[in-house]
Amino acid sequence: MVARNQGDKVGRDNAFVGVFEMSLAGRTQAVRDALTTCRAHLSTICRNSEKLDDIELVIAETLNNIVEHALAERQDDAPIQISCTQDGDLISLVFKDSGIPFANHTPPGPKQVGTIAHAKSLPEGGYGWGLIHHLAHDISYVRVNQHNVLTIVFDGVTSITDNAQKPS
Amino acid sequence: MRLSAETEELLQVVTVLDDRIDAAVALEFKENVRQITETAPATVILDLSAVVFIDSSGLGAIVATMKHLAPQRTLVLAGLTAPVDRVFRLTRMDSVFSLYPTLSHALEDLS
Repeated sequence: MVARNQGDKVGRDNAFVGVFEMSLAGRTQAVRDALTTCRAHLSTICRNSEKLDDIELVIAETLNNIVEHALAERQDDAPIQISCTQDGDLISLVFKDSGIPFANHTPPGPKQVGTIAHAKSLPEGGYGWGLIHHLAHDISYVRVNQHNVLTIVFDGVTSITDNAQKPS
Repeated sequence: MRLSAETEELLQVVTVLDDRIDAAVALEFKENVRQITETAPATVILDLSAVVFIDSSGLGAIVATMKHLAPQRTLVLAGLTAPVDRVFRLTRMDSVFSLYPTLSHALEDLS
């Protein structure tokens, strides 16, 4: 039997180096602490606070989605593993959980958001994937050995610093 | 989820005292705001100046609050910090809510 390690794919194609790895219990209360830890690690390579905010938000939306959907029926605090690697200006975050797969094995797309004309019928949820799609450079998903493996790539992580940022 | 409220004749200012409105507190936030605004006048200003992080669950809770207060009462938002402002703009909520950079801007405009 040949074991296939999904992580090999990244290592084979380019020069991604490890930034951090962590694991958290798959429940809402654990997400906050995980975000604090992720941000502390990321701040060692990313000097732009807006980019850090964006990445933190995407990690939050991704973890909440895993907790609320993939692991929703689980009572055992099934862990979520996060590993972060860097290749120059790119970082790649891989989220792995043993929950149920996405419908059609495809992550949801960005949803259209209403305007004031539809304020009354405005949905009270469903904004998370729109934010993830908007802020991430690339999103890919595979189902491997009963696990969900979601990879989210960000660009422009190390090149912009707060001091060098141009006024928008 | 800690809130404080100050009510005048025509408007109420609800200040969020915690720094995050996320999935962990979204339901509690919704419930607490609902209670605190029960007898609110026509305009409710939600002062978010202490909030440095909001996720889509927090955003959903604010949308739910706005819908709950309507149509008799209007919810406006004030004191959005950079990361919170960004979430509102990315989700185009800036076209749904009146957003004021600070509470005093809101009070000046609405009083």
